[in-house]
Amino acid sequence: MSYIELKQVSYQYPLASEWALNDVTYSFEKGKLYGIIGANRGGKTTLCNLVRGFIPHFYQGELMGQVLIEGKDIREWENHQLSTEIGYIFQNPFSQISGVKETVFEEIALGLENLGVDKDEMIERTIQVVKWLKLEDLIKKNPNNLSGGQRQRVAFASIIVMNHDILVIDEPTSQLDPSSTAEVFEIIHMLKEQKKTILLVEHKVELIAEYADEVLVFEKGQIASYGSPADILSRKDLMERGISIPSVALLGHEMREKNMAMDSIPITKSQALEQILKGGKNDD
Amino acid sequence: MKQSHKLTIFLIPIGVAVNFICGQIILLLKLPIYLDSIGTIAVGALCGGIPGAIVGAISNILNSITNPTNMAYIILNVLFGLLAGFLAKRGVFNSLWKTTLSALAFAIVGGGLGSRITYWFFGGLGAGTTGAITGILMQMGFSANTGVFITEFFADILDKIPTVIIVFLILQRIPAKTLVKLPQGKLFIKEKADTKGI
Amino acid sequence: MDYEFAYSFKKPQLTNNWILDMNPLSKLNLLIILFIIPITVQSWKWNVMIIIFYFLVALVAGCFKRFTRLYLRFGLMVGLLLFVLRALFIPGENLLYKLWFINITQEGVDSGLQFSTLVVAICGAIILYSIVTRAKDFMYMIEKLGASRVISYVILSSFQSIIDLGEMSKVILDSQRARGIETEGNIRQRIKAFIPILGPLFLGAISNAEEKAIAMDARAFSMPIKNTHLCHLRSLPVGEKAILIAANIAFIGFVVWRLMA
Repeated sequence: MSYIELKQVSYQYPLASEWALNDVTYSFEKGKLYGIIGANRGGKTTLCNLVRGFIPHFYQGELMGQVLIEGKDIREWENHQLSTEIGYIFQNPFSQISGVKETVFEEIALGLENLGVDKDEMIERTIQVVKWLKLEDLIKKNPNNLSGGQRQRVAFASIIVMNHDILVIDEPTSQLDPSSTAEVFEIIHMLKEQKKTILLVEHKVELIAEYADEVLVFEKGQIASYGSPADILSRKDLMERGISIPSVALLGHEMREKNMAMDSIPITKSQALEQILKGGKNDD
Repeated sequence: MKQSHKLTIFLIPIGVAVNFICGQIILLLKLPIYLDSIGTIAVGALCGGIPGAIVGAISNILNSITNPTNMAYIILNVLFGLLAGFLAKRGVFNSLWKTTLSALAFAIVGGGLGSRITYWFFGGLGAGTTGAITGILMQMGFSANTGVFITEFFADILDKIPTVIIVFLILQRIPAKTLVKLPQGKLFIKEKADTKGI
Repeated sequence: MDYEFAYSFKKPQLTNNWILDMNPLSKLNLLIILFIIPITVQSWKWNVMIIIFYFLVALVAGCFKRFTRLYLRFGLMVGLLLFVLRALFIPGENLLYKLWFINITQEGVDSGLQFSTLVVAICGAIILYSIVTRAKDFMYMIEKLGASRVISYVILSSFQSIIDLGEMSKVILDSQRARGIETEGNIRQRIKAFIPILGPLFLGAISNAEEKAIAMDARAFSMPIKNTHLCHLRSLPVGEKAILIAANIAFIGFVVWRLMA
């Protein structure tokens, strides 16, 4: 069953001369992780804003076509209903901290306060998320004094505690160092195991290759290609269009050019290793 | 619309902070003015008189924590915000010379009404350099009433001319895509939208 | 996992100092009384007594240092100036001292003493209140009285915005200095330095505000229902109620007595 459906959607930001999305049609299914890649200004963030309803509820501009969330047109959803249906995690770790709470524990619980959850349940749910995301050491700290990586984990916790079925995650690691990036991806991995429906925009294709069920490539406001990670991320022509592919895939292509036996182009390290080991055995 | 109303909520704290930070930058640059209503006037112009007035009121209350005598002047900060919203609607902040002239209107509130407040609450001799100048004028034979008006009006106009010019320059630099989301932002994108054509 | 901390939110927020733990509105009530007394009494001796009383309260509340720093600075910068200005400039019959064109008179000194202690006494109530009351507790009570969480949010985030923008301005100031913008030279150069600092600061803050608006929306900030609170304050203890009633009755009695006299 399609969960989020886009039917010939075009959108133009106010005063913009170009269409940010141009005739996009796609169906997102429940419980899958969608990796969304593409060059900057290709329409990725616009898609996120649209699915969450920030377009048209926050951003004006011209919207054509239909966006259906659980079968209901986005224009008919009340904005506050969407905030209970769809979680959203942003790129900038700094603008996601409310600025009105003195401890991380209170910061995480803020969304539940807004939802009117009663105190006992609020505390239990917050504890659960803190344990799940291993934020125990941070709970007493002032969220306004945390590092970018810590803030981003708190931002994840603040959304996860609200327990949405759909999560939109827009370049969560673009401002983080490698170790924080790994921590964030551990969180995303756990969310995937919980069978959440996830739309993940991410430049780090190695991570997309590892976790995504489907990959969408955005270019000039359109979906240029889509399919399984193995199909999409092994395509060398993406490189020419300014989109990187995993380095193991590049390696695979080079090995193939050197006439080495390859069943398929690997996109993750473990696949590459498997191929190489097999190759080694063939040589024996 | 509702969405522009939403952004206003988040701009009010920014306006308050700008009022404070300008004071700090002024101290750092050792300039002899206050410039403590830039945030109030900018938010008033961008979001409307009421949000501007709220910025003014909150700034005044926070300022009053260290110097509670400021609270006597809260009405001035409220009026600055309202006036900014009103003047922006009249297109005043779209031209530099009209903007500069508007300093007169702000000084009439700040210096004119402000000097009344100093007179009512402090008998003309408020705490500050203006109080000292008023005192000297009184010794020279001016009444407290006139003395305080002269000093505060001129002190205020010296403060408001750079204030409104800075606000003007800031408004010019705000990108159109941000302006469209603000209640009165469209007032400032008229020309840009025109040049773009249809 | 620090369960003790997590479950501490089940209990009301207490510091075990009876002044700090007093309800923000009770404190407001008592300090309004202290605010009005100097105005009705009009005696500098009373004013001085009230000023001393503030210090005692601050001592008991355990905020003596913080209060004293703020209050002394106010007293010296504003109170003293108000006194000096009046002593110097208020005309009168009894000349005490003549300094060039300035006549210091007994009337001026009296008026200065009277007025400056009055202002310092009144303002002391406000400064003390800001010291012994946490903004978030005050806003909690305002919400309990029916105000929307939007109002709390705007006030509380103003405090944080001042800190955030202050840090941002330092970063911008340093980078503009590194790019050669003169922040030390003559007054014209310093005025010119203002715009390249404030411009990026304001524009950056606006774009942050945009992001924050949708980020808060993602956390159900626009839910049209009454929010709940993780932190709460205790309901008014009987003792506190009794103190309030007694103080208000005594105050009204006092004012009536002053008016009769």
